[in-house]
Amino acid sequence: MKILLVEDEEDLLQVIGTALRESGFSVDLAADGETGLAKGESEDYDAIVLDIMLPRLDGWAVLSELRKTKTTPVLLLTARDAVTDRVEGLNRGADDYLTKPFDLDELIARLRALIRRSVGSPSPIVTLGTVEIDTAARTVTKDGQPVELSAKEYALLELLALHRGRLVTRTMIYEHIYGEEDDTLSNVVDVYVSNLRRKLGGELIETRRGQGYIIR
Amino acid sequence: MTKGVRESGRHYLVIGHWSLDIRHSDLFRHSDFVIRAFLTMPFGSLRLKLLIWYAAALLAVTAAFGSLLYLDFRRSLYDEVDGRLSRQATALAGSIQPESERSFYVELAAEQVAYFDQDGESAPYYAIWDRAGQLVDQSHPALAIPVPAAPGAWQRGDGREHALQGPAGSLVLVGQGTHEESRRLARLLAIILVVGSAVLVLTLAAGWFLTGRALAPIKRISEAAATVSASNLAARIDVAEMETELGELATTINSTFDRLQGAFDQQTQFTADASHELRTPLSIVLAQADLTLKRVRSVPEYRDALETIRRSARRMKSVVEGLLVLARADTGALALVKEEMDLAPAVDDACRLLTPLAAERGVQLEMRLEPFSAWVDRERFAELVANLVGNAIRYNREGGRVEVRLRRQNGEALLEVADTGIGIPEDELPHIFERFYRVDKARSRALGGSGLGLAITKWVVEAHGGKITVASKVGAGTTFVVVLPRG
Repeated sequence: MKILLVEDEEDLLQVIGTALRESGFSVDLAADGETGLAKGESEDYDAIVLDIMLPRLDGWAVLSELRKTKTTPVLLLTARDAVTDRVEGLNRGADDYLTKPFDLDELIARLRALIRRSVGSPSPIVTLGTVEIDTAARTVTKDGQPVELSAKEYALLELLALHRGRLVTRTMIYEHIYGEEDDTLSNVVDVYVSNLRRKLGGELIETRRGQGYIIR
Repeated sequence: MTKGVRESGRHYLVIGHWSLDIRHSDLFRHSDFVIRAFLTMPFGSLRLKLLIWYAAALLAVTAAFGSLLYLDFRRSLYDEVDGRLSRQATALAGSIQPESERSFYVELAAEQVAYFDQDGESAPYYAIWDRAGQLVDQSHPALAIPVPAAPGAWQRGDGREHALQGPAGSLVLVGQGTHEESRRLARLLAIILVVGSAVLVLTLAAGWFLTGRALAPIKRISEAAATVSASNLAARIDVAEMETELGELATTINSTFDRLQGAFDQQTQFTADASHELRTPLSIVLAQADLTLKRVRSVPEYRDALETIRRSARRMKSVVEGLLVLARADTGALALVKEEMDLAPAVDDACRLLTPLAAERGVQLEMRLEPFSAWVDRERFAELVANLVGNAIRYNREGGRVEVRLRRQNGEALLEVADTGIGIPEDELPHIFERFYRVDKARSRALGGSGLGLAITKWVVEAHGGKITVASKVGAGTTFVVVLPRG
């Protein structure tokens, strides 16, 4: 899952960024509204965390502009907790709202819920035959037995599971599981897929040669 | 005709006697109470109060006019009767033929006999007495007229009488009933009462209507004012249809509301800003602690985390301190402790404390200070200089210059702090003294600014009776000019 974090406070940007990465998200950072909007428009993030008070272009403007082209779920972060601010944020197309100071765990839980809702599966449990994925706890079981996955393996599995029945292209994989700080090597995806097949069974992930992967 | 009659120590008002002192009468004591009650009536009955005053004035004028009319008419009627009686009495006296000094006889001319022979309720009559008061002759045998004490004219019963001294010590009295005159007077009185009441009622009705109209805008003003509250400051009085004076009042009230709203908006903005300024570092502290505590970290990671937390805590500290200073300044609790001192060494000291910062930023700090003695608060003055010079260093470019000049101008101290820094855009200049206003938000925060420094500086300058101005050119630099009086 790839998140765009737009926040002008350098310290806060780094802390939230690190926390999201440690929770298995890929994270892109932006320190002002213009950069944030440019990144948000050019890529398909799974969710955007957007601060309202931003230099150059404030969060409201970024949100209004972004909504012209994208339906990416947006979680607003703000230091104001006036009801009118929350209402305005939601009216302008934000999907959720958190007031500073917030709890990191709450931010992450809300982001996961946002992403689940955006792909149409509000339950955190995704069942693929004998394989069960708990997207809240980030755990996977096969026949009731826990399966150990690396962060990237899990991210790939979650991506495919959430897009179940739809083709997931290699480009989508790069966009969703790699952040700006990751080195993307195309053959690494193949390694992850073969690892997943070994751990969860060969028939789970189908390869569409030259196009990508799909879970049915 | 009119007179005041004093009876058992009380004054009574008799029509026509305007100067009568009735201040101590029961009547007046009562009306005084009533008037005071009117004057102290609540606002709601202003209309009634006005009407009662109006009615009282109108009643007084109508009554005075009616009385004058009535009295004048009566006087002219009676003067006419009296004139006639006087002529008849003189003629009658002329008919008296004296026989000696003490005796006489009366010989009436034919027309006189005819005149006094008239019948009717107001028929004229006469009587003549001799010196001893013995009745000598009278027109009608049945008359029983008391002997007048002296000549003159008077009213007796329904008639007027006129008596004069005739020859040989005789006393001649001629009288006449005034029934016709009384009826005419009664009719006049009735007309005055009817017309007067009608005028009174009509004008009072018109007055009630007019005061209602005149007071209606006041009701509108009070209704509009009642809807204005801290949570709804947007209501205004519609001044479009108001009469001049009330329109003025409404405009005044509206502008008061405007200022009030301005103050409230400013307060709301300030509270929101203050909350934002504290919430942001607080969320950094919280998020950093949350993140760090998730698992066991390496020593450098812990060190980084603690440094981040300390940075945020320091920022909160500077915001809280700034807020405290301004809050005390706002409530007037922050008093200046002024002493007479030379400003030049004080400026020099404050600048010296900033030399390490200037060196760190590669900024050259130059001072040209002339001695100037003034009454200032030592601590606040140092803070003022440190704020301005600190900003000049922080918002400068690498290798830039800061020039601090102190000199005398028109008997006042002129402190200039000029930098060669990034400058402030013209449209932002009017706002830079506002609390939490930042020209370059990111940069200001990165430099650890609380956003309150210039607001505090401005307060310090103004508390000293001085003025602070700023001139800036983007890319060229900014100059702050502080003018301080000698104190």
